[in-house]
Amino acid sequence: MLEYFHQLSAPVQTLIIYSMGSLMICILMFLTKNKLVDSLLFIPFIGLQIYLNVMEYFEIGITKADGLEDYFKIDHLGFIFLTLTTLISIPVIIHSTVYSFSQHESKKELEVHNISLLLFIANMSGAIISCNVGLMWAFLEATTLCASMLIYHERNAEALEAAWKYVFVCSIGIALTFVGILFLGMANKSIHELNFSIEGLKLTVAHMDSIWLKLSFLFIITGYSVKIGVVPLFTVDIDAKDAAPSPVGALLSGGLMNVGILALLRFYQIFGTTDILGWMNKILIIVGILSILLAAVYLFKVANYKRMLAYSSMEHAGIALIAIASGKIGFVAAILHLIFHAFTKVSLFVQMGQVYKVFQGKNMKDIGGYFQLNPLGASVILLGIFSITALPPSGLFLSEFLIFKSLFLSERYITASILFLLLTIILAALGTKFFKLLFSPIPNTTISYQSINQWESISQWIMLLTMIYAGIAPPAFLIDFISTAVKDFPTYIPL
Amino acid sequence: MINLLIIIFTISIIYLSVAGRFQSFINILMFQGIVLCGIAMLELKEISLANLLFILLETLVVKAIIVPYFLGKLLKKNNLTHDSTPNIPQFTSLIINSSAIIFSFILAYNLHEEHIKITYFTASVSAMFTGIFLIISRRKIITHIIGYMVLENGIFLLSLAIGAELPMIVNTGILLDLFTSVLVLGFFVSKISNTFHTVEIEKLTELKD
Repeated sequence: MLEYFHQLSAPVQTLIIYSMGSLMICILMFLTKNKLVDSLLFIPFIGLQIYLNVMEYFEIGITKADGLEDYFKIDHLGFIFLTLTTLISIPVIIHSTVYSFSQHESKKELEVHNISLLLFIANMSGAIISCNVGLMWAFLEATTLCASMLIYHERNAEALEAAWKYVFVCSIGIALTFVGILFLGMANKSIHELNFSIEGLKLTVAHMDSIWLKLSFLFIITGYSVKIGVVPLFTVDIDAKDAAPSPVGALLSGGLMNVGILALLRFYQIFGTTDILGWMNKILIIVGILSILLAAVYLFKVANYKRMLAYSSMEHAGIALIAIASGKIGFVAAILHLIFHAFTKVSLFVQMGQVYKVFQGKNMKDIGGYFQLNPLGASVILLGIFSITALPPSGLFLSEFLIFKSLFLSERYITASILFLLLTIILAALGTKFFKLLFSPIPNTTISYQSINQWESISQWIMLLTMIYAGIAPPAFLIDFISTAVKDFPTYIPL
Repeated sequence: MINLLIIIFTISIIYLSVAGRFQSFINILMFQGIVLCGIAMLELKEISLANLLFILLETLVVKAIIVPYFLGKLLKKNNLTHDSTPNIPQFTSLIINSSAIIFSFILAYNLHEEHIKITYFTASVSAMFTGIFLIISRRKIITHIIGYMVLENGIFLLSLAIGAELPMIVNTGILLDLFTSVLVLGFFVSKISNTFHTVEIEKLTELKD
């Protein structure tokens, strides 16, 4: 067995070490009787995740051997998303552990939570590095199942309802995506060897009838909308982010949303070579504008701060889709936007977990005066809200500026003006509600407010400051790397 | 022979739209699993041993034995017999489903793609439609799982219609996902019946804006 392992090429060995290592850690988590050991087992997993990340850097653009040619291959685009997933999963794991221990959970609850979280991150990584649309689909469906167990973590009626709706609607949505992928194969029959790898599909779509491509794209975007959290199937995603523990909500917003957009981008790459490109851009713009519109409406209506952050994620996913549809420099802007959004949203979601701990409630109407109760955490929210609404010095300001530039470059003036109006509305909605949380007097209720350890806000400070630094002075290597990643997209022009 | 099996499959879809007892739903699922196995065996003539085993596993073992058994256990545990209150009367849903079959037949006929098999396409599209229709028109969440399984059967038939086999590694992933999702759905159903003391979807209204 070991001999066989040594005969394999190095990249395949990396994949085997990662997958087997993760599986071993899961088994150990299941077997151990000690809660502390259960959580400490995340340390080797973080090590494995970083190992995979580093090793994949040397594999960029190289085809893997030993029968995996059509299944796994990492490119520049995939590497950006893999690194992002690794970076945000570290604070999420840390805060999940802190959360678990403050809740005094039973061993069984902790074990289910930890194993699901680990498999969730591993499956997202798998979806990112696979270059076969079928395999990517399978990994994404697996993330649904892990996420549903994480959403159910609180084990109350609300969590149960959210988990049920999430797993059911996700399964149906993703089944529709599979129909879309099958349509690709159906229109492909003339080619003898059917190949669902991205490179293979790129070669064969040229011979296909455009009506099949359009049908296929519609099914795919409907299915993956449930992962991205945009129109049409966004509702379960919002419920999930509300009912799940805050660190899990952070991972759904900052991790899974990006992976969903990456999966959609793969199909955009494939279809972008055909003549349905213009039609596809229209669909993306419609989906994006509708998502931002609904987000703006709901942001005014809802008072639950976790749901507000979830709607804000929906807004940013819509902005990213519009950026992709606008083409030209929009691709670089979209990737930058997703990176900055992930950092900001993860820190806000994690901080909201602490707000919940202090006030024991999720309704904006009953809470206030957070600045007096937890100054360091409140300043995270202040900075986070400035950042998420794309006010300078936030990195999101830079990316949204570039998005508007690309919209003007591609002469989409109406889209740009609607977008501008909606973003202003969202700024007002988020600002008024969150400033009340920070600055209004502490409500006179009988609940005794719990004190909170100020150190828990450190990780969010690090993330926000990194994001702001990268927004003010974007490192040249980052821009170069993103530009290389998107240079094959149709209508791309360098920044 | 294949055409006969596909026609039988389509008839079972029509029966689904009027069935009211959970046991008959489960029997149909079992039956569809066996029919799908027959279609796959007849269709894929030159087949490798690995693929043969895989299709046997997916159709006979998972679709015809494990999932029906699991759903039956779920019914017994929750003392359920009938899905008596559909949103849409059964006669109306019979008409809607039949017209969906006719519509998908006309659609397949008009596509003018010589490599698409009309019978397959009709049966699979109408199965997918019926699955989604079951989910919309019924209130019990167990019926929703059955609708999901019918949708998956339709997709399986569609993947046979394109003729080519998906690679083994992808197939395994899909099977694993399908299998686990039914288990997870079942797990949540039993939790819901414990927590809410009902399996009616109307009671799940805790979350709203």
